[in-house]
Amino acid sequence: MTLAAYVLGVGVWTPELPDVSTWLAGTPRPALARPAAQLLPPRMRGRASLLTAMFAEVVEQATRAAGVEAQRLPGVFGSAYGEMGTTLTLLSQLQAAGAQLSPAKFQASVHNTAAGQLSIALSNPHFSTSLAAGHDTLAMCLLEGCAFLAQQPGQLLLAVAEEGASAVLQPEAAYAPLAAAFVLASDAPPGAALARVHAPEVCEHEPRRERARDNPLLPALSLARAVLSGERVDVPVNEAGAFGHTIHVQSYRRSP
Amino acid sequence: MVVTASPAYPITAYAACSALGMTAESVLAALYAGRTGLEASDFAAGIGTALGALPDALEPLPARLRAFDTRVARMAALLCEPLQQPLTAAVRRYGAARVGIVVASSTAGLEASERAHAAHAKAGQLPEWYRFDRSHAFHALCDVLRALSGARGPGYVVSTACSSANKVFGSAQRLLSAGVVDAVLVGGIDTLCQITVRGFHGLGILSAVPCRPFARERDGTSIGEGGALFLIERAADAAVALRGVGECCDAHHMTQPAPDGSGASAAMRAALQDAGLSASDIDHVNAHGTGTPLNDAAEARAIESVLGCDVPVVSTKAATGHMLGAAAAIEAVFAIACIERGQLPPSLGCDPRDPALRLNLVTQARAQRCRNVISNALAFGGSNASVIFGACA
Repeated sequence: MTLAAYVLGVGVWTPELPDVSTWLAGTPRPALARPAAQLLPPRMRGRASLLTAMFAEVVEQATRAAGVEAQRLPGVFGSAYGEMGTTLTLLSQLQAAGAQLSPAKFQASVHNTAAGQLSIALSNPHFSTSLAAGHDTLAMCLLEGCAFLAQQPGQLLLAVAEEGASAVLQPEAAYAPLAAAFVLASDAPPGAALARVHAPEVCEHEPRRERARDNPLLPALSLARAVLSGERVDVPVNEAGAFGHTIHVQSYRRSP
Repeated sequence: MVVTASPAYPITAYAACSALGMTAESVLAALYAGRTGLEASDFAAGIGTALGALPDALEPLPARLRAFDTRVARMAALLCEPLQQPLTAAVRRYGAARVGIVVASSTAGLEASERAHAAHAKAGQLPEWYRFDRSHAFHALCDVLRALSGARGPGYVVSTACSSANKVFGSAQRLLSAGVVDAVLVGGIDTLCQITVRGFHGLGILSAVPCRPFARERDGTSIGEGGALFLIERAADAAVALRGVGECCDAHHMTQPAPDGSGASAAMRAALQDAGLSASDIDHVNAHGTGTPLNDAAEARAIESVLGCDVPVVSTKAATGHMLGAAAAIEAVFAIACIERGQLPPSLGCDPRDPALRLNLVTQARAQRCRNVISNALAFGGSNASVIFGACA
């Protein structure tokens, strides 16, 4: 069985390149602290962590690009470390006298916070899962997504996001936040898909030591670029590890 | 669309640890004897609650894995040890790249980060032993299990709070059905952490005494730690198989279940459909049963609506505590044990029962032939997952 999926839409957000067209143009804008995250209702948006806001933003971008309704889609959400900003707040609160934790922060510290808040905001009762696999997170999310579509044909949302490195807990790392989302489909009418991506294949490549300090979701930007390249591209994932994955991409059209 | 049942995948080995014991045998002996592992603990100083801590100290990791040596990694090693023989056989039989690892955790190495962060607050630097990627990160669990098991297939952590360890069975089923792997090491592991204990306290849903799921006077849950691991294979001789998985979202509230139990109902119905079974085929329910007023009421409505009022129901949270990301893993062991032994464990603390909940609660361990058992897990974020385990012969 060939495990693969069509890509119908892409979303990308970084503080300086907050949408696909800006990102493809490569001309940075003044850095934003947070994305617009219009998919969340105002009250929820105001309280959302950066990670959850990034997920909401790229989900909105990708589903709009694909012309599909986000509330109808099952979802695979991936983040190597999850809600670290919220967790660091809780760690600091533990040090304060009385160690009283904010209930709102605590309930928003779980790894599936974004998946949960988006399902509530969109009244979406469909399957969702939240995964983590370090620098392999993108590859494992794509594997889970392709396996899901093989079992339940249709469309699926794959979204990954990572906040910036924690200065306290990751002093050796320094990377900026980023997020990307892809609307995947088990089938697509001619001309509807941007690309076809294959489930990741294990490959051994020489680990690049400096990659361990990168944002572990950086390969998601490489995948987005490959999807929009109009070419056949192999995307390496997990170059920080002893072995990683390669995602084979056949792009059908070059994005302007 | 014609929906066909998923194949049944045999569960060829399992291991467990919890407040009830350090091995599956000791955990099950204590469970069926009606003992609880919950007791007051200095870990919850100033809160006043009962916790389910492991009864014995954990051994340090072997020297080659010393960089990963945290409490959660030690639990992983404890659980991996009794599975060494079947894991080695699976790696030899299928090839290392055809054996995957899908493990659940809500906390991963958070307990280590709590200690490291406290040290940083005092001394201005992290302790020598702390490395974020090896001490805190979810994937460190996969790294440790990969090193101990020899498995080299896909490896990832599912972290959807308290439903995590049921959802790993869904992931395993998908990987097997898609032909990506021939065997999967699945399970869930979580440790006690200050953030989880104090966080649940802050939400006002911790009981001051050992929790009493489905009781009239239930007033909250109790937190526990531990985990369980399982080896699931494409085809092998086994007593029990993974039959079906149902996963969905409440889309209602981050920490409260849909009051009508609609999310839990949908997960159970999806699991039945996936298994190709009907409600009358289910012999026993291991409920999520946290002991909070809202959860138990919503889940009872869901069980009644899907399975009726006669099916025997047990919550084992009063024995182990709520093990969060690992809760469904230990409860999968209990579900499997019911099928293997033909015996139901008691639902501790449920008397006097809440008269509003129309459930057939099991108050004493008793013999009952079980062909199929469903286990529920309901989580923060409205994440629901139900898993059905069934007898192979």
